Amino acid sequence: MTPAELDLVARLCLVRTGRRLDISEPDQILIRLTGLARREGFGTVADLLIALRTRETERLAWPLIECLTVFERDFMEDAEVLDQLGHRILPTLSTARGGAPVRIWCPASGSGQEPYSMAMLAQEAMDRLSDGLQVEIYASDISTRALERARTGLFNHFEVQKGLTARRLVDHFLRREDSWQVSPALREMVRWRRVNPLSETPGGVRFDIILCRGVLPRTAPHMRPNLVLNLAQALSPGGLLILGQGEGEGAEDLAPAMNPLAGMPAIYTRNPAFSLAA
Amino acid sequence: MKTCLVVDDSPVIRSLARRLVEARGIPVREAADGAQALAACKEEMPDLILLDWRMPVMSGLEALSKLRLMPGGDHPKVLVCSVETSPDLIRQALEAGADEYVMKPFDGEILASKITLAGVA
Repeated sequence: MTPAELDLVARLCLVRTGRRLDISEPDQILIRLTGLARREGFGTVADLLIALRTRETERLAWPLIECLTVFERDFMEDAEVLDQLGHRILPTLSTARGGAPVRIWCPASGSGQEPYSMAMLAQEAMDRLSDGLQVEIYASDISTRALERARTGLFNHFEVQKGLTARRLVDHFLRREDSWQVSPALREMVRWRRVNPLSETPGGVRFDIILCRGVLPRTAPHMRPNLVLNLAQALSPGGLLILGQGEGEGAEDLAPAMNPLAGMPAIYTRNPAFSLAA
Repeated sequence: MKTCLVVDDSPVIRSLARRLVEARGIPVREAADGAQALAACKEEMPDLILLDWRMPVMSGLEALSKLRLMPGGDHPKVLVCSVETSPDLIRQALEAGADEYVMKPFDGEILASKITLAGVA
C-alpha cells in the first residue's frame, strides 16, 4: 500500500471512531483489506480505495473501519487479573450489591473471547458459591460484523486453544462439526449491542465492572478524555474499571476521573470527588 | 533449566515440536512410543512431556498412567497431543493425568499457550 492509501484509511478510522490505526505493519492492513475488497466485488485493494475516495464513501466507510479496528484477542488474556476477578471481585461485589446482579460491560468485545471469558468466570464463581451470585454481561463493539460473529459463539480449532485450558473447553463448549460453540448457558449471559464507547453505553444501565482492555492506547490522544468521561459515567458507585496490563501507567487521561485501586494494578475506581457533569 | 520429552511416532511431528519447544529455550529429547518414553523418564525425569495418544507398542495414555505411578512421575507437566477432538476423549485424557490437551494440528502460539497454561514457565 502507498503512504497516501495508508493515510486515507488511518484518517477515516480516526475521524469516524476516534481510534488510532497502527500503520507500522502495512502488510497486516493489506491482508484485511484484501478480504474486504473481495467481499465487496473489487479486483484489488487499490480499486476499493479509489471507490471509497471518489464515489462510494458512505457505503464502504464502515465496512472498512470495521475490518481494520476490530479487536483480536485470546480467551482469558491477563489471566492473573481475571483470576482475581473470578475469585475475589465478583463475590465481593455481589455481596456489596445485596445479591442484585453484578453488571459487566466489555466495550470492545471484538470476536467475543473477552465477554465469553467473563461468562466462564461468572459461571465458575456461581458453581463455587451458594449465595446466589447473579451476573449480567453486556458486550459491545463498533463493528456489526464482529458482533454478528461473536453472537454465534462459534470459534475454530486454533482460537479455542489459545488461553483456554482443555478443562474449560470441555466444560463450557460444545463440539460443532469443525468448530466449537460456547454453551447455551454462557451465551444467554451475554447481551450484544453496537456501541461506540467514546460517547455511548449499552442498555441505559450502570456497570459494576467495565473491562476496557486495549481501547485506551488505541484511542487518539485528543479523544481519550471523552472515552474516560463516558466510562466514568457508566460506572456504578464503587464500580471498577479494568484496563490492560500497563495501560494505566502514566495515563494522565485517567485523572481526575479515576483513581487506581491500591494493590491492584490496572484496576481503577471512580474518583468520588470527580463531577460527572464536568 | 527445564527439560522436555517429545513423544510421537511421527518423526515429522517430533521435529516440529522440537523446533517449537527449543525456540522457548527448553532442551528436548525424543521418544517414538510410550515404552521409549517411560525408559527416557526412568533415565532422567523431564519437566514437560508432549505425549501423542495413538502410538504403536504403547499408547500415550497407557504410558501416562504408568508414568504417574513411577517415582517422581507426578513431576512432569504432560500435554497430551492428538488429532482426537471429541470432548469425551479430551476428558478421558485429563482424567488419566494429563495437565493439558493439545489438538493437532498445532502451531507455535498454541503450544506456547498450552505450555504456559500447564504451568511450565
